[in-house]
Amino acid sequence: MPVHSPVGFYTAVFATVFGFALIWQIWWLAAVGFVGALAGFVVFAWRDVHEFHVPAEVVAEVDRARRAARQALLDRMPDEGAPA
Amino acid sequence: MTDFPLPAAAETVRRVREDPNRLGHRDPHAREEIEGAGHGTTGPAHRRIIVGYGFWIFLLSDIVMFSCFFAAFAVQRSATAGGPGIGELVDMHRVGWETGALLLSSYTCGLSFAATNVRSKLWTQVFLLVTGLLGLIFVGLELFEFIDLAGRGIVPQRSGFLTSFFGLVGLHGLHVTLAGMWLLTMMAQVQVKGFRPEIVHRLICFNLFWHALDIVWIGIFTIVYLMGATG
Amino acid sequence: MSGLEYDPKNVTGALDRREDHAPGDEPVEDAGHVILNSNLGLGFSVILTVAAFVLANSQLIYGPAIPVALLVLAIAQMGVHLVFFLHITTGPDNTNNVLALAYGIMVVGLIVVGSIWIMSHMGANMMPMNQLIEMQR
Repeated sequence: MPVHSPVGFYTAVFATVFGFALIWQIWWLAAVGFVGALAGFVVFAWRDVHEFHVPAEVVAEVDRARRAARQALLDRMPDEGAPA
Repeated sequence: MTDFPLPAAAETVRRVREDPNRLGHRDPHAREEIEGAGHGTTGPAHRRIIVGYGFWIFLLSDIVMFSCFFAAFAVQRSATAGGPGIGELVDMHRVGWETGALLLSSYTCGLSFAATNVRSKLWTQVFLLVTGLLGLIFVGLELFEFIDLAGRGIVPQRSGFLTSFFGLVGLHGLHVTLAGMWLLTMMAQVQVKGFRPEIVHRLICFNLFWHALDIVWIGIFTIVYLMGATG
Repeated sequence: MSGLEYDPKNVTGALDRREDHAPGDEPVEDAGHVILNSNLGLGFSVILTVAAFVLANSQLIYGPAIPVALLVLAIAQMGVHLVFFLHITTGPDNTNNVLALAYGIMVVGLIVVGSIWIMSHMGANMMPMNQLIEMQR
């Protein structure tokens, strides 16, 4: 799984600023937005750890717990099918 | 069991009995990575292949966006509003230089990937640099073309045709510019981090992107410039 | 469920990775193939590009046929790029890419052909612009 990162949000903010500045032709703000977005991209590209592994046993464990909870709910329901 | 395969019928019967849905069950306790093409016992495909495929999908979405701009250009080709048509815009020599520059840059990009395959940092950087310079020449030529046109009063606001022309060619130039920034980032990463798997995968993606840009340029110089000059 | 008794990678004994080989379908660490493909790609692309420029600027072929010829050359050059630079091959690792490419081409075809078709029909069915403007004076 990819590592959690806020960089996407930061880059999007700067890109929005860039777009706004281009529409209204505020060139200094466009430069700021562009540099900020590019910086976000480069910072994110420089990360050394980019993913973590979810082992199969953890997935099986979570799935087992979930299925058990659902089965318990189904067992609690009366035969007509309405929740107890 | 013997080393040579069983007769076909018996083999098939055995396989159907044991593995009716042809899943090719993988050993669930296998700890090491099993490299393969993603079928059954050979596990998920190598990451290089998966990364390439994912980037291909992005590239195709980009090409769909370009095709929208192409369609707009095709539809607006005669909407010149009394202004200049495509014939007045085409400078064959400049288009020739731009095409040559981009084609050569595609070639050197492929060579830089060959250098990456043998893990030669020097030659990777050299060829990436040449690619970047040729891309810079292309963008510069296009910029000068736009400045020239603007000097003659040919601007996107003049007519629907010119809007679509500048939109299409400009979008491609923008892509090449952004790819140039990505190239600088990749050169820095290769220099600092060497040839880690992630870096090699990113170089693969960069290669795909740069070549796709050349493919789009083939479409542009044929349909916009060459057909415009002769049609 | 037991594992299969034969190793799937060894079933196709004669057609191993080196003998059954498509252009561009190189194993990971082989630079020679990449260089060969790049050279071939450049060679073919240069020929096709020069041909396109020459055709456009001379009287070598019948005038109204020039756009078609240019289109054919362009499609050929795109094919050269796809095979030699982008390694779209028929190898087993590449099937997904070929499928994705086919889908992309279909979408592109729909958009471009559809737009041109619709807009030309619309133009044929609408009153000319100058008459429209006259009506509003």
